[in-house]
Amino acid sequence: MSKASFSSDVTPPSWLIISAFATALKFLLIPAYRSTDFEVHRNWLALTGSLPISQWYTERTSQWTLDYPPFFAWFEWLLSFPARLADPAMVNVSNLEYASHATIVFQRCSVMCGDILLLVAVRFFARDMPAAKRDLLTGLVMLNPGLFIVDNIHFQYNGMLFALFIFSVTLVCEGYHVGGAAAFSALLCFKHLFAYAAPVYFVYLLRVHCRGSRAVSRFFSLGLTGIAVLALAFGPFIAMGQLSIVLERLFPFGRGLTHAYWAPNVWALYNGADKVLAMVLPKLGFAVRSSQASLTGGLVGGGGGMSVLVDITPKFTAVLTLLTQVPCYVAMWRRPTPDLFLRSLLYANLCGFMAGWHVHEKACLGFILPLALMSVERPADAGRYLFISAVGHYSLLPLLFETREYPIKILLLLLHQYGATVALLCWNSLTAGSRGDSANVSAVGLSKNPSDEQEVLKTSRGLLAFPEKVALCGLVGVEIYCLVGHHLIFQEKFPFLPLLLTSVYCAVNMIAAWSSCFWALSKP
Amino acid sequence: KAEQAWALAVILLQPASIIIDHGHFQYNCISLALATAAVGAVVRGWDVVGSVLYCMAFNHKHMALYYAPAFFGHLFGKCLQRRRPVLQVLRLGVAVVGTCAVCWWPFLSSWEVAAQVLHRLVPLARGVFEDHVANFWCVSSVVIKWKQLIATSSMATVALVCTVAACLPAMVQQIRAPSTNGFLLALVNSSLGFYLFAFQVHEKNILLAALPVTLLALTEPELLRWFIPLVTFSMTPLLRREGLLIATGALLLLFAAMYPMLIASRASEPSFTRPQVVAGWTSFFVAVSVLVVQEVVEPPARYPYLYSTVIVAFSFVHIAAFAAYGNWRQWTMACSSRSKSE
Repeated sequence: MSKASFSSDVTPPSWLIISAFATALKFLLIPAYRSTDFEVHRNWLALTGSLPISQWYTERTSQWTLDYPPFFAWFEWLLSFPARLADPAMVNVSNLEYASHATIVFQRCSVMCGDILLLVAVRFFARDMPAAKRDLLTGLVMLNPGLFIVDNIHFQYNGMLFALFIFSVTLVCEGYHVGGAAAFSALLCFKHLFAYAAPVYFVYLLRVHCRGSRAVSRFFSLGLTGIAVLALAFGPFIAMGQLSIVLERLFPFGRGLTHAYWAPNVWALYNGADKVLAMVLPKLGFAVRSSQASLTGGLVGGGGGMSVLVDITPKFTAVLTLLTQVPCYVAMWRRPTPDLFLRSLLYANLCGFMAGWHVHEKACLGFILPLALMSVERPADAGRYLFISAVGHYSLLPLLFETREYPIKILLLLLHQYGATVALLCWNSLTAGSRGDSANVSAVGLSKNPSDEQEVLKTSRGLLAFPEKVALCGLVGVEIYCLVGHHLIFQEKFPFLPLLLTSVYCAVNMIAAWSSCFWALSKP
Repeated sequence: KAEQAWALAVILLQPASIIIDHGHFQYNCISLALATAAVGAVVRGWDVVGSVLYCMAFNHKHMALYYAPAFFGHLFGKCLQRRRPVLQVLRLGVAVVGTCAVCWWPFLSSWEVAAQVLHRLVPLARGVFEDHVANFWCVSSVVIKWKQLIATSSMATVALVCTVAACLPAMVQQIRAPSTNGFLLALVNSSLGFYLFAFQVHEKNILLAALPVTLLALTEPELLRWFIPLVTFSMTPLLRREGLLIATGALLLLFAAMYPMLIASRASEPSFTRPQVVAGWTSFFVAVSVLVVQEVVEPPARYPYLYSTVIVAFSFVHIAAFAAYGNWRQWTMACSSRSKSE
């Protein structure tokens, strides 16, 4: 018997362990709550899998009509092939609300496969970074509670889409402008929510790519790339004369200024003020336009709904969003660096979130994930990440309103915040020396032995400022109120108050974060 | 310190315990916790406290009696090594009897009541095994139909004799040379002896053997590597019936993520010989294939329990091999430590 012994326990790489951990959690979450988005995606799977293209955007057996751009429809079409193997009844359009065990497992696994792409994209983005930084980034992105809540429980495919987003950002930052533009155009054809970031790409690429003697031809090459991708997506529908139908599906402006649960943006404060005034003014003797209706649209069409304040139109929100984004265009024009590009992307997405029309709180992922990418570079960004991710993820919690998910969502949020705080603090202290950061020089002398982590935490400067810490403690207060306080004080009256309080409190914090990101644009 | 943290994670995240307690739904954690506390106390030298805790453990769930030979052997061995051994034994005896009396107090009002409790605890009428469990009687009943061959009451005696024989080596070793590591191994060996040969064993009882194996995480982590998945695999017929297979897979994945971290935090890495590695991976792939085939192919009408039997037989072979290895390890470790001290 050969005695050639060898150590077969070569430790697996960190990203594999992180992914195994995340995947195990996702498998355990398979039987968790599914929102209507589950049926939405099953319906799209069915209609792309069983109907010809000409009927994809006209089919209305189910109320959840196809309202994503064509590439996503093609993705669902691809998915319908293995879906048939898992459970053929899934692909039947008339099987509304069909949710057999095989269907659920299949759909959940398809999201997990999308998350593999996210892992690849993040590793690609960070491939030139030192191993520790790369692993930190992998952990921050793959173990993001927002993605768990929205993708793996509530059910969407954001992981996959953000993979494409990060990939296009990587390409642009490394100088492959045409490739990056093509990737971003493709992303727009998957989910047009990313259109808030389109002007940033436009301005940056204009400034960086279209210069020198061949500026005009480069401009055209970029433009043609974008148009080619769009043509690939929308071409078939233009040929069938369905362009107007498709556009109407993609931009349903009849839906109301805010979603049923107000995303924590400017309009949440606007609505809140309106509601307060509508209650107070009649008592003071003023007549008030009675409006029970949709502050909160949803399926029901028809806008308007302010009782006291001026009604907001979609056009107004679009103009406001563009106006608020102008500072980042200016900043980028002056100093077109990849760092500022990424920063402007997150700022632009944040503007879209704060001022846009019918924003879902799920859109917060659009700025939390880019901020995660930046948080490993500078302590200021790390602090910003810790604050914004806490507020943003907290505002996602009402998505899971069933009692059995309560411990899960709280633990996901708390564990991520704790883990991110410890990891970023340690990273911050370890790299303080190389940044010439005098306040943390004492921390640099420490060895990198994990048992000295306690020392590191004590000597390093905190990443969050005192007001930010107070605001985050306020979040705990809001949660306690929503959980028990409201019932104790008001019993069954004012049932909308807990959600209103959550939205308004988070909105105020988001505005503070918004201004912090704004000021960050001007720093070197 | 990191090593201790990862060892703790591995002990607590043991997939089989979690899935049985939280999925199938039982309260094994309580009696296992009391048993663990007892082990902790005994290892520290607090013998009386340990005895009391162990009594509470088996008065909560009498399957904790699987550890009895190990506890008895170790404590008796320690008593013999001290001055005035008779007094030490009496001390522990009083503790044990006293705790049991307190637990049984309401039921000691009359002989009939106490007898009825015992009758319920030891269900002799239910036969030597139920369902599919990876022990000797169930697996050999494929060939030797025990239930038809021997009457149930005699079967109980036969099982008792075999169990005592299986646990004897571990107990004797501890009486002769009690030690901490030996104690933990004795726990493994006596619980496996019971599991393989006792009367009316349930597949969940393998958890009793899994616990001391995880407690050995700091000293013998290589045991964990294939015993824990094996334990989980032996219970798959039960888990499959309950629809818990996906959750079990997820927990095993979590365990597989924790285990390398434990190994990485240790000073020395365990090493395996090439044949061991090959054998290990072959077992793994056979096990996974059986599970996959079970999903895809219907069993033939003549043998509707084909898959369960295959799984159980496969597990039995591995568990029996592991029991043999455990006993061998316990004895060789004792010899090596004795030769060192000489």
